[in-house]
Amino acid sequence: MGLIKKSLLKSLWVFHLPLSPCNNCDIEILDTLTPKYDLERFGIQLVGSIRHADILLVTGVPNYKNWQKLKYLYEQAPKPCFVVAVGTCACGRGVFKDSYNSPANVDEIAPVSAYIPGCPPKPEAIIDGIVKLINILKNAKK
Amino acid sequence: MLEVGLLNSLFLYLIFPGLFFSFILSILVGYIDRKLTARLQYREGPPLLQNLYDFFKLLNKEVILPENANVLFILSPFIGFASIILASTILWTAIFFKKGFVGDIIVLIYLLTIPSLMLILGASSSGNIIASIGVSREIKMLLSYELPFFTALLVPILQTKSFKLLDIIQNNVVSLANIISAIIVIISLQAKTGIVPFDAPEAETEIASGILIEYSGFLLGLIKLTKQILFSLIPAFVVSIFFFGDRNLILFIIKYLTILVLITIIRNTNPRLKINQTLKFFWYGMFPLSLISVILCVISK
Repeated sequence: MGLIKKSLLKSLWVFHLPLSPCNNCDIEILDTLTPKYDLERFGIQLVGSIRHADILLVTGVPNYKNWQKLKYLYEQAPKPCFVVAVGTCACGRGVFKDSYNSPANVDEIAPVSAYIPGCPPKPEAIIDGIVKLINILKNAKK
Repeated sequence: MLEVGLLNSLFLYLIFPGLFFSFILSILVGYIDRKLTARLQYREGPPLLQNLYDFFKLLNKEVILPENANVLFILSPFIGFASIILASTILWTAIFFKKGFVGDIIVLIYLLTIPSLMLILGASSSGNIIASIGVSREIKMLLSYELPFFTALLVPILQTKSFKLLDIIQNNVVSLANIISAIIVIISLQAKTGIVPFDAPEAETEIASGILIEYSGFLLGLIKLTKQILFSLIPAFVVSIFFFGDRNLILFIIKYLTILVLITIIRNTNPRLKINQTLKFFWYGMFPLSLISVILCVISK
């Protein structure tokens, strides 16, 4: 594993994008940064601008008002950038699947690298998902 | 006197007290800062080389240029970085090799101002609205902290009657005026670096990183590195000018670490000030205090 890849995996900066969520997943995401779980051990930190991000963390269901914003944000992110869907809504829209206001899944708009299901997922589950993503990237060819 | 050849100057600038040394030092100082922050918040904290990983990751990321950006957007991080390296070369050369030239403290003060000016130019050329809010705040910050900073630096200059950094380092005395102006200099340099009580220009939660919002890839890495090196210069500057920087290397390291811990504790126990509060704090709080310290210094002569 080269230095370039190692430095990427050791410092993943996260941009948190809520797509009309119920705020449940967002609170659990904030929990992972609190002293009990402390994701900064792995070099993960929340950033304010998409230009700084390595991970686009999506929660909630895309609707007609905001699905294009997800697309724009993904296009604006400097590559390599990975999309992570947190919660049942972001993974497969859950009970909103046949809603009149929901055009598409998250993974139909932007390529999703990791799914973390749960309503809401526990902080342990989110950390587990991120660790699995890191392991997949570690074993990938590039 | 720096009557040395080009090769020697290049060595000073690029290897020992300059680029390479400041880079390593800034990573170590950044580690101490982040680890101490984490321990104060009952967290575990990042590993030793975290800032190195961050920097290398940013080097290899894609750089996105905004549509309206001009050449200043790319140039300004480089100029800021070069000037901060020159400042650290001058300061560390005076401390380690006891060399300098007349008026180098003035040069140092100007060089320390250039990174913020370059940040203002670069961010305002990006054309982003949120960046322009950050720029306006950064300009107000510049106006607020420079005045007490210059006034407080008059005290060691008056005491030693010299504009030479080396004379100030070797001849300073500890007095009440000196301690007051040391505190003012620490706080002003903290505002210059933009760390927490004074980070209104790059407030992440409020204006989405403000001045840094359009920067990505290695340009962002350079700006972050510039701030880190400036942060690692603060304790060295304060210790050498106010608290006998040249007497003993071990004592110097102990003093350096003490000031570093003090800055980190200030940063962790204070919330972010609004920009009008920052201005009020510096103009109505710090500036009269610095005037008092100058008057005390003149009277005690």
